[in-house]
Amino acid sequence: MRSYIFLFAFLICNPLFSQLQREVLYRLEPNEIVYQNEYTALISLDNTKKFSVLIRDTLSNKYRLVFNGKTVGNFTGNKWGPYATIKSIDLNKPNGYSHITYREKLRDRDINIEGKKINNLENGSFVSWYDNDQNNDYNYNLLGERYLNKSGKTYSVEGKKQYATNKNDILWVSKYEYSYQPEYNIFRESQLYLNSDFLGEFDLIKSRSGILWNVDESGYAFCYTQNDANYISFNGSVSRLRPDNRILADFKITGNDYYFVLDDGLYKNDVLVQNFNTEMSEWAVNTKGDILYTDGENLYLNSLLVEQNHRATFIRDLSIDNSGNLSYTYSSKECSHCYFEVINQNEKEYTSYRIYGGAELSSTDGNHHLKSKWNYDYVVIDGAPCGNAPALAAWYDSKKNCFYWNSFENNELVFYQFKL
Amino acid sequence: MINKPVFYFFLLFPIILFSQKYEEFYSTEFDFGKVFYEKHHDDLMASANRIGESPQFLFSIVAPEVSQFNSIQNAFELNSLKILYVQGGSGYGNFSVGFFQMKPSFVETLESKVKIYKDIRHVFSFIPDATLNEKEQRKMRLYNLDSLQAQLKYLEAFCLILKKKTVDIQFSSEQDRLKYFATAYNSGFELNKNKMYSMMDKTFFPHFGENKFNYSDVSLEFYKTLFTRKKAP
Repeated sequence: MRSYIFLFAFLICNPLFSQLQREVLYRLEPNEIVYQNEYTALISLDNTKKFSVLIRDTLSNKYRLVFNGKTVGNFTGNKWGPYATIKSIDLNKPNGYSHITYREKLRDRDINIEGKKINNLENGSFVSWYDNDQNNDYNYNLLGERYLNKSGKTYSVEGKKQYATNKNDILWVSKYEYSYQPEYNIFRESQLYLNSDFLGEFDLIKSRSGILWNVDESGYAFCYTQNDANYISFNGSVSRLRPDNRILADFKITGNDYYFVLDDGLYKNDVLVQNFNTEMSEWAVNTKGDILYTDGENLYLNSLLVEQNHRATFIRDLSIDNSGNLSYTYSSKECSHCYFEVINQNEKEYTSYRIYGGAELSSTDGNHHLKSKWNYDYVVIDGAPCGNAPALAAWYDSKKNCFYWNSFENNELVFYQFKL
Repeated sequence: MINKPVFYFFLLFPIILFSQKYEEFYSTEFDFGKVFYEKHHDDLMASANRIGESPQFLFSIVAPEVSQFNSIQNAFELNSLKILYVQGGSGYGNFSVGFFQMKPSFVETLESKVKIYKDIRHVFSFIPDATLNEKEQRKMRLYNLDSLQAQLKYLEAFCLILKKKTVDIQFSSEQDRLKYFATAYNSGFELNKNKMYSMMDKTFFPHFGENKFNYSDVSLEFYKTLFTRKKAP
């Protein structure tokens, strides 16, 4: 009791009190908990009071997905989790959630992709394992045959052990023998097809990023090994790759060219075309040969600095199309757990599905600081404690000059605003 | 009548021929596990001596988890799970921490068992003080889990308790015993004997990996490798 009186007195006397607003977003019932599994808590938050959370009733082991305050999905389950896969949460979309629900007959599944429902789909499953990405591609069976729905387009993948797709084309192997090598793996005796055309039997090469093959508007290409030498085939035209296994580690095929990185720079078809003038962390090319690369904080196009983003801490997911349009993703110093996607100079902010717990932020002018750690029951702003629990996530809003954060206090999901 | 060795050879032939090693698919991870063993050999030896086991046996129980530790990208995410556990209570204790990937819920069960088995109780002074409130006890438990020394202590406690629970089981070999202990570590040491052996057929490991193995088979692979390794000069 004495500690509550002290806390009350502290808050009243503290000049920060008037700057602080607290709002309960969601209150759990006594028998409810937020569902969390081994690696993630199924909870998503942003700085506009939007949130999503999966609730488990510990008595009935029933689950419900709460999206911006409304229950949008109910799932049966057991104490380990729901009989469903829930992913692709985007708080800024009206139906920003997808899930596959398993019925009692586990083979029959109901799919809901951002509000679009398909019921009774046999063996439906998401392609991506990751619950915090926006990849809604899924597989399913019809009449006992396997299909892939990729970006809304359907491909038959029955009998296809591995495959790559582009619009109407699918490059695939019907069977292979897996062979382990120290530097890379070989899919031995792969029966390779383009659509229904048999291309031959090859020992395909698989690096850490996947099988070294490509199918795009220029046709198909793939790398293979034969008699201890490596080769690349572009639409049936074969050339030998240089005898250096390192090139296979960071190797891309685009159009009718192949690229790889060695210590001195980027090679195009065995010719050095780009010396990196910085610590290169990621690169991309288009079929015209334009080279886009980053050191994580700056973006370069054919050696020219095209973007210097002082907010960026981690530029990644680069791509460049043949019209020169750039797209990339970056994280920001101003938000502990959001990321920004830039497509043709249009920027969109995303809240990561995952919450990180704890925070360390500064205002744009650098004069104000927020810090929180998981093991302290408060958040520190400019040297003073605020709130009653650590931040699950925090933001700085430069327009309103505010810090925002969310906490989990006594089974309440709480939203805090602190005006600077 | 076919003789027994020939019969078993033909019975096991497909398994011998087609069984693939964890080391082949996860060579980087396997090497990480071996390097970890070398690096912490003295600590492992000290723990093993305290409970009357070999360091190879002790380490092999947790070696699969250690080997995958580098591949788990949950450093930031882990803090949010810690917050939910501290603020929300034991219902939120089902997540893994540290090199040995121990769960707070596992540790809570372990602590309750240590309290029951009075003859081993005095060895484990790391258990959170019962006079602390529950929230502070949960914090203390997480501090412990962040320390390799405390994780070794928890592993010792796990082995001692499981030894007591398996005193009536006749293991056919040390390798059979290891598989039992590894399965108990991975699947829960409250499972009964039949369930434990049935779990040895399940291939769920690693969680984030295209090729799945049985956890206890991976433990055994480490055990055999550690026993046949050449001593460092």
